[in-house]
Amino acid sequence: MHLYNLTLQRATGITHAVHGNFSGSKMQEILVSRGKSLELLRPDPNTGKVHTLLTVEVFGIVRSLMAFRLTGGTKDYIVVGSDSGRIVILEYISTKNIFEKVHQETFGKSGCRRIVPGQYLAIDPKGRAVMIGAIEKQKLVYILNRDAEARLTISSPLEAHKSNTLVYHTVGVDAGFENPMFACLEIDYEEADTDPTGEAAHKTQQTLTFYELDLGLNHVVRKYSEPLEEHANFLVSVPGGNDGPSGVLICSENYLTYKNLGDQHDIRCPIPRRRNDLDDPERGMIFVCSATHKTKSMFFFLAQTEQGDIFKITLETDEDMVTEIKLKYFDTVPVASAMCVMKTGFLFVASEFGNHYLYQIAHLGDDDDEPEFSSAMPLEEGDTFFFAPRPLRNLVLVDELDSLSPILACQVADLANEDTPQLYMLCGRGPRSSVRVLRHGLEVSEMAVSELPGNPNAVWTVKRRVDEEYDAYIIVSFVNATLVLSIGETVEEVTDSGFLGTTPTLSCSALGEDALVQVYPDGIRHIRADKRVNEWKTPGKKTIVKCAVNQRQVVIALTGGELVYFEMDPTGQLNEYTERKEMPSEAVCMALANVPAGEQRSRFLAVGLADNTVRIISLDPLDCLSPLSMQALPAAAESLCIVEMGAGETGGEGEPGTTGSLYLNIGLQNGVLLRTVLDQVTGDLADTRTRYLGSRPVKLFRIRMQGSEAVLAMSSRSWLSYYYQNRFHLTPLSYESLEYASGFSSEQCPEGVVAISTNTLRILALEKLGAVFNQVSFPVDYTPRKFVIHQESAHLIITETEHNAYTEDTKKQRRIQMAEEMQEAAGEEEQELAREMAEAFLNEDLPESVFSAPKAGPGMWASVIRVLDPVEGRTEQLIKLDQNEAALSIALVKFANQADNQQFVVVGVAKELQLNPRQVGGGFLYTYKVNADCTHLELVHKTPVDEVPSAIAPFQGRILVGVGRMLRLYDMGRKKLLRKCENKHIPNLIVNIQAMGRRIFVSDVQESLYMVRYKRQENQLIIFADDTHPRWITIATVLDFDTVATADKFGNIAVIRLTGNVTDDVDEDPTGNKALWDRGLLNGAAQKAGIVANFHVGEICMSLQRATLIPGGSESLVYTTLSGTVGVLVPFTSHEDQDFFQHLEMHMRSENPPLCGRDHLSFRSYYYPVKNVLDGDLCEQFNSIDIAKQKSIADDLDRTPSEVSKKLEDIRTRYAF
Amino acid sequence: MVNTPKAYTADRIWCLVFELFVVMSFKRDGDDLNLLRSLKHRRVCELLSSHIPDDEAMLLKNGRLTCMICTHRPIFDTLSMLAIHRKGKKHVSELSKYLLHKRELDTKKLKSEQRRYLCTGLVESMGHRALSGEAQGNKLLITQVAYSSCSKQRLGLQRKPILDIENISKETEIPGVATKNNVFPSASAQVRQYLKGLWKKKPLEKTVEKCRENYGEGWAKSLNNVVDISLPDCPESILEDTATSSRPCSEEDVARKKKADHELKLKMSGWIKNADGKWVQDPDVEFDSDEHEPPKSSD
Repeated sequence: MHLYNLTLQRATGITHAVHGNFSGSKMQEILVSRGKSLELLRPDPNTGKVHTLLTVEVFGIVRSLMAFRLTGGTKDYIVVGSDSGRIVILEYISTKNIFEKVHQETFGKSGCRRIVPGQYLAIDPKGRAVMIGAIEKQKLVYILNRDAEARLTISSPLEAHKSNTLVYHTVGVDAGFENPMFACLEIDYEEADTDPTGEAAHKTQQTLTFYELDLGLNHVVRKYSEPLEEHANFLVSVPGGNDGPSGVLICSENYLTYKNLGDQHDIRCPIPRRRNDLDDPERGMIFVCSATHKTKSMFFFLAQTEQGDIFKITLETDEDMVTEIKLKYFDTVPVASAMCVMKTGFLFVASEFGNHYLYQIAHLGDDDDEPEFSSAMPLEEGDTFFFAPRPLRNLVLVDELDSLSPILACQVADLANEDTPQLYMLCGRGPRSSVRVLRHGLEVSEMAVSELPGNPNAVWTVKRRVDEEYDAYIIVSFVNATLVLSIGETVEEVTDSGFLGTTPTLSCSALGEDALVQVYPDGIRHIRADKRVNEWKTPGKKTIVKCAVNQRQVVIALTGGELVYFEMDPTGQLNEYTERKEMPSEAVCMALANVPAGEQRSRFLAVGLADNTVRIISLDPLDCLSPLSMQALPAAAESLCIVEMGAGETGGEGEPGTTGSLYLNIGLQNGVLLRTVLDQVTGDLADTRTRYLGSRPVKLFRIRMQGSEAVLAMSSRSWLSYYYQNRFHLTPLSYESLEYASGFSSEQCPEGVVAISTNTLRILALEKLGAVFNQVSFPVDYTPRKFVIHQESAHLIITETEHNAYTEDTKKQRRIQMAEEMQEAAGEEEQELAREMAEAFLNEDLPESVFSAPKAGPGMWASVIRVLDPVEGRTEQLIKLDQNEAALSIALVKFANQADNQQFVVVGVAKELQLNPRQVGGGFLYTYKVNADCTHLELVHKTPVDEVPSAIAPFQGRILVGVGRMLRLYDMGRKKLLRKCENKHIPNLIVNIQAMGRRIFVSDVQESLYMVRYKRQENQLIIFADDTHPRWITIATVLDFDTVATADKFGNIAVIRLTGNVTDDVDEDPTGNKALWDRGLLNGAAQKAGIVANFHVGEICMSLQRATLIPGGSESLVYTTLSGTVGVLVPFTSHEDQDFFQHLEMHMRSENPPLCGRDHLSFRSYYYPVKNVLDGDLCEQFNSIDIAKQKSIADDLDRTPSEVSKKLEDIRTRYAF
Repeated sequence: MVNTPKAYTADRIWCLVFELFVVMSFKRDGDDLNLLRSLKHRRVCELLSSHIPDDEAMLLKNGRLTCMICTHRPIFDTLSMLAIHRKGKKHVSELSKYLLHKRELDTKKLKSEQRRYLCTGLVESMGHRALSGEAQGNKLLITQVAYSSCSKQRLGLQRKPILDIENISKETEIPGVATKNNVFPSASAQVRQYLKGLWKKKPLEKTVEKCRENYGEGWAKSLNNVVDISLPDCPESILEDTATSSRPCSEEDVARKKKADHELKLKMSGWIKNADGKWVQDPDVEFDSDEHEPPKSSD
């Protein structure tokens, strides 16, 4: 078995985010790391939408990310600390839309190690040096400079090592143009390590240490070190030099402290807390992330607490001495892993879990009634300020980026009966979690729908002048009339446009600078800007059957297959070419390309004829209307469209990008779309790609998407073919079927589509280009853990379990208790006020999804069981479990000893579960009876168990339950489930049970798989084989009777198989007199499974399923990861394919080494050597590398580059999207 | 090849076979006729070699063979070499030793069984062992306790074994065995008798052939690992039975099947048969509180 790894959707969670002017223009971009890929985002300051410019897979783990700018420069560079043992400096080249590796310096071993730097990065704010640090001991400083040609240079590393020291955080201190300085939070454990009594360990204090890079002496000195009173978690650098007082802010538990070198006193301010918080008041509060905003005149910091509250921090100074820290509650947003404040006034919040947000900072919170807290206010030690959280006041949400991270479970099924299966996912954490339904397709936002007087045939939009930004008219053609609508504030009908309204229209377009043209069956109407109209009438009884129009040219086909060609001359007159062209048969469709910039005409006309051919005809004056090339088709053409695709992004200042090539798209009557490259010189057709779109003939429309051309193809489903990030995408629209469409641009919707569907006119916008899935999200209360699908009713039964949380009941009780305390605490005269306050407190309703849920402390659990209709998003039933009951496993079962078709849901619940070390106060198996349409669960009984019931699976009319390390077989009884059989030989904790036939595959949390057989005669469960590697399994799925795919918590996927000579017909040996050598090594099973495939994904897989993703496609292994990746492992069906991709992968490894310096082969072999899996993600980078390199690789494979990319596309479309 | 005209000489047929061989196997680069010829020769020798029982030689993992009779386990490359060895003097003398030893072992086993019976009153469960063996035949109901004249006698009698201590002194043997033991046939006669019975045993060639056919696939599995996704209410034994025998079931068979079914169901839900053949609850298994008697068969 050979597999091919394809990522369908890249990770969506963000681990790091930095902002800067990476493209060198005035625009600010955000660079985010999504674990193992880098993505450049640009928030559009006009629309507030975040667009992705570039995504690159780096095949390494990004551990730290920083942006820096050389003094006096205008462009930001990127420093990446990764697991490659190298420091890498990247530059974004906007013309080519790539990241270029400027420097790569090796300093240590690869891998995420304790003493190899890469974990922390600190930049001198003036861009003169960078410090890269490890968690322990090692720190290296590189000096950055520029050479005579203004290229960035990097010095050899200067060591700042100190052994026996752990580092928590490092920042570059802004010292102006004095020697660069770095501040580190450190702890020296040497004394604690040598002290056997353990006393020193308690006394050891964290220190704040300053390292100075002496640029004159070219070495680093440990300048100053000071023990800290509280344990701090991170540092914020304060602007220095001419901009501020310099120094650092130390964020520690409950306190924020300002420190600086010299005679500056420490300024200390407590972190304010929420008034009347349900949280444990003894629990400390920390800041988890911060963002600095600095202009020439002022600076402030935004710091977020772990509850999500953002505080604006300002410093009061007196002659460069800080006198006061001021804190002001700003707003509350979801807890972030990184925040960026942009110059344009946006705040980008990369959420820890769930969707990411872009906010506009509407107010700086300077002049409102919100109380300001200051370090100067007298407070007793241990006392703090209080504030009341409230809905957003200073921030305005402008865009939301979908993020699936973390995906906790996923199943592929077609519950909505749509013939393309959907992905049902449990996403998120805590009160922000959701159940999401993913469908393949582009999300369509409906801007407007209006009904029309009849059923229209076609629709176009035209601009009044070529230089206008927005369209002026919408022209709708009916069977016998044409309707003209003008676009303004509203869309209304007009009659003075010059268009002929009494006839159907074949096509219309803007012509030249400011004229319009309308083609109708009896002629052509040329409408000049001054409303003069030139008409051309068809000769005799002939009518126009088809036409093609662009900005300067009009071609019409008359009945009988005669082509007439018109071209606009410099005076704006439309002239007929002297000759006409007789075609061998009737023309069924025609297309013209757009006139290329700076040219007079498009040189090619494509004509589809009734004899199943498409011909390219030259429109060059030298050989006008002479045929250039022809292509035979499998069926008659329905529609043609020539577009220019594959052009690079045009840079910010309008500098031209790389030019693309022309593509002829041919929609056939049998529902197939062909895409062919049209040679821009000779007009030859080559490299045809085919895709079946639907059952209806394919109609094609050219539209504009994100500044480049795209094709909207309509069959029984509508598709968008576009070029995005070096790859062709053909994605269905998640929308009802449409009949005719045209591009649309107005002030409200700059890049939209106007389309008709039956008798309605719709204005649509396609925004999330590049997204493979569109998602529907339904919020749930707690972190959803596992779910089962009730197939008959297509309902989901979900267990939601939250650690460190109160149930609704407990929360209510606590509120009442607190309200009572409030009243009791009040004095005589304040009684009235206290009662009011208590009332207000009881009625207060802040949504937990924004303001986060109160933290109850470790060992506190809240759980619910939810019956959800995933199509409607309706919760049918919600069963709330008691406080400290954690629902951990679920299964849908039919018991053999119960009535036929009576289904039961068994939920494994642990009571008083402590995670580390694992302790449990028992557990229960809740058995619920499911009614026929799965809307109601009725509790039948509750079976006590002595350990954590962590896995349940139906097995031959009974259930198998993993209770701690015991595998048990339960049968349905009257008062409880009856234990019938037990196996105690699984070493640690059963996390997953899969059964097939009589074989049972049991996953242990750290000892991989055990193959168990149930022997009915003896009523025994016997382990007959196990795995050779200790995998920490997260999920396993059975591929066939002998083969299991597993994923582990280190991000590996392995396929293991019982080889041919393994038999499950073994006896257990209770007497122990079995031969010693027959017992297996170290108490393992005598028989071992073999490894078929190994692969390191790089993210923790939480679901594995064998499924088909497209109707009529083949099966593949679908996986989802915690970071939000959806990927597939596809089996190769032929040896040739495997051989081809093996070689391609090999060439790509050597020609295109990963961006962050990690070797691809060693990354994919992180824990186990990669075996029998080829990396499609690397192979697909073929499309984005240099043309010359593409050519040399393709030559080595005895193919052309286009053949290689066709193969890449083929294997993708055969299994997935 | 059914309609092959008579004109085809044996030579021609050999050629055809040979061609077929060459075509079907794989392309050869050189013309190594010598090798092919020797392979053919070896094949013929194998076909003509004398009958070697399955349990007297073993095919090793590396494709060689070893003689299981000789204690020094000589290794042979081919079946013919093994056959030649089996005719040799050394082997014959080893065979006589082997037979003697085997006989002793058999007696020992019988004795130990007898002793155990006397101690516990239980006969070793033959049925259990028979399950996997071929001797199963079409027997439907496999009971824990196989038929034994001794156990029949013992039914109902709950004597303490100690009472019989005088009757079974250490020296006294079981009568039948003892008498036979006294008249031990001579070694050569034994060998002769043994060789006569050899033809009844499964020949080694077949095993070897099968092994070679399925080379790399693991023949063991294809032989005895039938994928069984049986439902819980149709026990394995029946499945096996229906798979092997296609003869129509008599009424008696049906009844027996039902009984077997029922017993399997009881076993699966934790009932075990005690020495008296009564169903008792397994102490390690949970039952409904009112479930004191095993559920009756459905009819």
